Amino acid sequence: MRRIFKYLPLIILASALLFAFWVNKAETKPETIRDIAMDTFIEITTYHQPRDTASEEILKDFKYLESIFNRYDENSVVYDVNKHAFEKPISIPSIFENLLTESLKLSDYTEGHFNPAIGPLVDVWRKVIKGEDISNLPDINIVKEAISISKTENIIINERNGQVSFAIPGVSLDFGAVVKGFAVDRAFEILKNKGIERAVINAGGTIGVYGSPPGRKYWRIGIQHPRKEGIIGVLNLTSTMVISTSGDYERYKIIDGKRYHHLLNPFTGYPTEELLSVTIINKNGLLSDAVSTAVMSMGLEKGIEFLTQKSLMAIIITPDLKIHFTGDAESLFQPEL
Amino acid sequence: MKRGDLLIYLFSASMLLFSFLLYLFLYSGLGFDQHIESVVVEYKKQVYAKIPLPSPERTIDINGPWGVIMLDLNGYKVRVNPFSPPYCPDKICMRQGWISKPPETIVCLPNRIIIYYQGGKYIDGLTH
Repeated sequence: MRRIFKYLPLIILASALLFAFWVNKAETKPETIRDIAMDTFIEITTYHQPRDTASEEILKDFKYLESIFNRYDENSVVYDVNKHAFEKPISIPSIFENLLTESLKLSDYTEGHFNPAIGPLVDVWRKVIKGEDISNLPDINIVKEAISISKTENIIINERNGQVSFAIPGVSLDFGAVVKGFAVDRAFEILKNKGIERAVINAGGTIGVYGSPPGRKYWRIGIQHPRKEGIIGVLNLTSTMVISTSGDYERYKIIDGKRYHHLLNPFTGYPTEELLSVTIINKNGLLSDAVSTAVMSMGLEKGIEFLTQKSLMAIIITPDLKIHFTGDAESLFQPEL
Repeated sequence: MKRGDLLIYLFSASMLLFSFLLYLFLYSGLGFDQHIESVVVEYKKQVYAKIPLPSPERTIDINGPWGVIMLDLNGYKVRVNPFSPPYCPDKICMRQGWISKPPETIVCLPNRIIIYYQGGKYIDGLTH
């Protein structure tokens, strides 16, 4: 007993030092930057030591991705490929080959419901969905023709030369469904290399949480209510994850009481029906993005069967506003009352 | 060891414990600053206006390189006035209507104008 008293001052001093160290360490301040890239709103919050440039680097990378994968930008790589790859093989940078190859794999994985060659169909519907031409819906024959061109078999990758070509004219790649998830994956790499402990990346609604939450148990990510302002519930997450949602409320026009939105079923050629929104929770952003798009097209029964078989976490909302879960998603979900 | 020494030790130990608990208490609320402080208008990552909230019902003009943007304010609600001078080709932000709490934002893609709330955060992100 006496001995403890003898060392008491030391013990107190040591705990004071530990405490000070802990406080100092925990005191990484969150900093948020906002901008527009990849045609969408970007918000990056990093919890870091002063003078860190990770956020800026991530933003720069997003703009770089946009310069490659924006199919509406005449200076982008994908524009060049779409325009000329039938005439002659086009040399592509490795990042392009990488996303193309991964997208083709994910297209197989989702049994064609996610389709990176969906460009021709997107073009058929674009004016209707943007509200520029609501007087006439596309002719069924035009839709059918677009479906027949929108096939991944028409894409030929020559890995040895780093080139891509198209088997028939009119083929058009569209990475719009996955580029945000891909971007978040790349952002995580930057955070890792920079030694950033925690961050939240919002790439136009695809959200990445990185590391452990700051001084609390969970990261809290709201899920948009598909039919009104505000959220339908919150996901409580403890560590790195990418959350991606596809919904029929994002870009749409209602014509004669029917909703025409930007998510197209590659088999029917029409906007998907049955589901209002699909949220996927996965460590891989590219997969989250591709699968959320694909399940919208699959519909409820097929979608749940697919997700269960692949053990993926998903939250599906049907028109009766019922919430369906697969994987362990239910245990993460907290409904908004 | 004298009795006085012990008292000093006990005193410093309890002070340490107290500050530890106080810190835990303060830190547990950190990250979610409960109340909305202001609405911020950013253009190309530069802050052009920061208006404290809540605000009485009024309309204000914000001038910037893009032209003029008219903001309607009412309490914590904010919108771009639908009759704002046409500074923007697609007018999506004018048609968007009111936002009332974070993380709702008004974003004008062509002009790179972002209107967002400072404070009042209750979630880390919104997936949509």
